[in-house]
Amino acid sequence: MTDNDLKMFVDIVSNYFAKVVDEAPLLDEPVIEFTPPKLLDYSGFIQISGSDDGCVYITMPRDFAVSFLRRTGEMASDDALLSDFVGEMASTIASNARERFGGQFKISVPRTLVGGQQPPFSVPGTRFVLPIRWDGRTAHLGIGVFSSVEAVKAS
Amino acid sequence: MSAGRDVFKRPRDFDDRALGVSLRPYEWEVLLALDGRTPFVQLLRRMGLDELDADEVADELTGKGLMDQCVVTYGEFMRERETTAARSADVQPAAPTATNGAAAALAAATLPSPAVEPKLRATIKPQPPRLSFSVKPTSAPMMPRVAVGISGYKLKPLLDFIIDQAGGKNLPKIAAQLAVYRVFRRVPRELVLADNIHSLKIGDPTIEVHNKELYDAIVRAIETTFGVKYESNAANTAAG
Amino acid sequence: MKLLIVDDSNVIRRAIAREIGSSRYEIRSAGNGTEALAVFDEFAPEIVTMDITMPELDGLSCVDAILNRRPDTKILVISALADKATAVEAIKRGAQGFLLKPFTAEMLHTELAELLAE
Repeated sequence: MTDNDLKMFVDIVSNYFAKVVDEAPLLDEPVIEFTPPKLLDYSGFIQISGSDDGCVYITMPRDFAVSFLRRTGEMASDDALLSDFVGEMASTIASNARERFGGQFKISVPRTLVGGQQPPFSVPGTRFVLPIRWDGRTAHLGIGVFSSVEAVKAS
Repeated sequence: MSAGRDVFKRPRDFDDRALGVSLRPYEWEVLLALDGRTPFVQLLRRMGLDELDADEVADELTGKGLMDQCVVTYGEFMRERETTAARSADVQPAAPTATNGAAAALAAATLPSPAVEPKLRATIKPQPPRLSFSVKPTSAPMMPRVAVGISGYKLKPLLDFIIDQAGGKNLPKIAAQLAVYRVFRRVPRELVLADNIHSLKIGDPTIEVHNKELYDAIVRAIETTFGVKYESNAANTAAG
Repeated sequence: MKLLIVDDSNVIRRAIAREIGSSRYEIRSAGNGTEALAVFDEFAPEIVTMDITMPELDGLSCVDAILNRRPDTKILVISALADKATAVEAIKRGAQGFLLKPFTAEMLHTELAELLAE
């Protein structure tokens, strides 16, 4: 997976914000994480397989999700709706990525995790995490590609 | 407040407290030089700062909750004296090594120059802040610690090299940052975690590692990723 | 005018309903293709907004089934980029419009207006 491939996920997320809330988010200095993902209240994961395996996820605190939905006019904020929202966001990201990557990578159906629980599948140990600031709140876009050693262990 | 003879240390949750705080660069340097052992005024003098400002600087930094005054019991004081004496006996006039990081740090701090030139510069100049690292709070008592940020291997030159290799400064910022990730994917995570690094901010020019083995692994990862040879003193040449 | 929103995401169903507004349309919704057909039979909408990727019965099959029941139904396919080929196929089979996710309220109104003008 090239830098441009990875960058595409960032572009897709930025575009999602621009379209849905008419405002591009601020992308903070990215962080390389070496410990298990710090997942916030609502997370949407998509797994990638192909020439490289890995995952892309977006994780956000409750107030981020609520605020985002409010901006779209949604006033309800129950858990089911917020979880559905992050799943839909991940799904759209996955779908757009699938189109842009063509047959090069397989993109899984998104999986939604609530309450900061760790994913029930392998996640690359070293990940690129991009803080996405919007409306004074921060979500994180995580991108991880397995190293060859990890890929053998995970398979 | 009269800070002259007082000794200060950083609070355990220093990284968290420092987030969002703006200080003058030399104040960060002072904070990162705190070792819980050296009197404050002596620290300023060593850093080439005006010791007459000691009270003012100490007031400001303690007021912001970024440093705590060290107060110890008699027992702790005596234990520390013994520990310090033992450390001094251990110190060898050599470059910092991965296996003797604490002693190496002390050595770098006390010796005028390292006897063996490390692969990267390990200077005794006051170091800029390394707030990008999440360091696990130690469970050990906060009694005098070896100064951090003295013996680290700076990553900035390596990161610049990666960005150059990935396409230069004209590369979109995010793509350059992803190139850095691509290199770190190849660095054994165990080594990174062993250096107490849980995450690192790519854009932070002050980041350092303290373990030579880790530093070398990063260099190898760069060379493998880009198929070039990395040499520290800016003489970066393509591998034949 | 009756409008049926078919999407497996509750957030999207609610967003479309909110944007379209209940003053002009009588709105019902369904979370998958099977449910959509049941509601369609009972509600008899003139317009359907249709997601493509859904559990149970996907959007394309649902478009076929609806147009078999009532060929003059106006169908707006709403899907993400990867489903574009499927959406194009849906249009070949008789759906009239296509809206790409994510979309803005303005884009939705424009597509619906074009659909109704046809």
